[in-house]
Amino acid sequence: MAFDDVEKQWQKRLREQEVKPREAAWEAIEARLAPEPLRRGRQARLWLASAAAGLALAMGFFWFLREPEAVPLGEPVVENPAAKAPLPTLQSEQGQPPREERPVNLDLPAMPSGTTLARVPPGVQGGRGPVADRELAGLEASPGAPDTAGLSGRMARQLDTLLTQVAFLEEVRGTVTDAEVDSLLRQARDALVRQSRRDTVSGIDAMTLLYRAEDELDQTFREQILEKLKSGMNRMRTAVANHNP
Amino acid sequence: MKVKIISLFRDEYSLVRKAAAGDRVAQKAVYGSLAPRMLALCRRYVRDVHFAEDVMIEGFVKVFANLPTFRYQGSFEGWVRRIMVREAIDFLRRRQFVVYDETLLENRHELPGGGSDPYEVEQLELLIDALPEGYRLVFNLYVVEGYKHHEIAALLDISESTSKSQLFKARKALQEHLEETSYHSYGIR
Repeated sequence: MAFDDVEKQWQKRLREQEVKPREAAWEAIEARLAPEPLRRGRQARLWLASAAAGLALAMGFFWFLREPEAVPLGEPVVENPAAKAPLPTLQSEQGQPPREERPVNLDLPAMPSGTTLARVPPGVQGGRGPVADRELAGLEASPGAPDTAGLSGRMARQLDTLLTQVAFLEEVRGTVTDAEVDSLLRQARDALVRQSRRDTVSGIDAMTLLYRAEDELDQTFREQILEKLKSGMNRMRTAVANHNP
Repeated sequence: MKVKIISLFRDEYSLVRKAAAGDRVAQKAVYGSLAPRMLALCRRYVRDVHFAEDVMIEGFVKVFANLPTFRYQGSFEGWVRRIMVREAIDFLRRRQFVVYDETLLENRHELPGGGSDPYEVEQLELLIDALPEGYRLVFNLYVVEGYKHHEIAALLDISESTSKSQLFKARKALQEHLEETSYHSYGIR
């Protein structure tokens, strides 16, 4: 066999020869390598979380800064009928005898807000009150049912106030126009929205902000509240009318 | 068979791509598959195994740093081997280990006695280790790694004729040793 052939055999065997390095060798190499870049999945998740947090903060900021919706001009605004509305009417009619067919109940302005609408004397229909009326109208939340964000409760309270105001106006002026009712409904809605905003500010956290921002994104949110208030009021009025012979 | 080879190359290249992107798992896999052979390579140039390991570590750091420049043509292992060889030569140069002895081997390093098989790797290693530094270096580059004389000359910063003479003397020393240890049939024409 020629020496060249021997060399070829040597080459093959030497190139395949292996010597196992120590475990510490890889650690030494790893310590000198550039830090591993973030993986795509983790990077994407991080971006998504950052974007969501940024969006939530921005929406919360605008929600907080935005002024409440202005009440349209030309519609009567009755902010607190118990304190304001009846007195000017009475004062303007000073000197004239009160109309017999619609006697003004002077105690009514002092009536505390949230009192019942029931026209039946309390003694006749004992135990009846706002809760009972709401039950009749089907608005009272069932005891076991969850009330998310307390919106139903607040809406029921607003309805009570609203109906008191309408009843008062009816008592004082005899009629209440649809525009006035609409205006009162819008006020009630704005009060609900403001209350929700106050809740957000008092107990601020990222998730609440996010949920509020999502609600805000829904353009029909306010219309939904208005519709609910309208339907609730109609049902309560019907219930009261049915209840009072 | 052809398909198998292609898929093998694809797998190797995909692993290399991941390692080049900085994937630590892929880098470790590349290291795990090549390190034993690379340490044997470094050991042939640098006799001390601890120094050889240092050279290998340095070599792998350079491999991973230069992975983005790999062109995915030919053998990846061949590319890594070249980096390791260069690193080993740099190490020897820094330590001034290499002396290109122009005199023939006559009364210097005593070559070890032959074993039962001249192809046995351990026996070969002993024979090569016993060669003077210059002979060993050129012999390793030419015979084991397959470099040409002009490449060796450029790599070691010597003339081509020096490379040839070093190889000639290394071969002669090994042949003589094989003759002495009754392996006449392998080397002597």
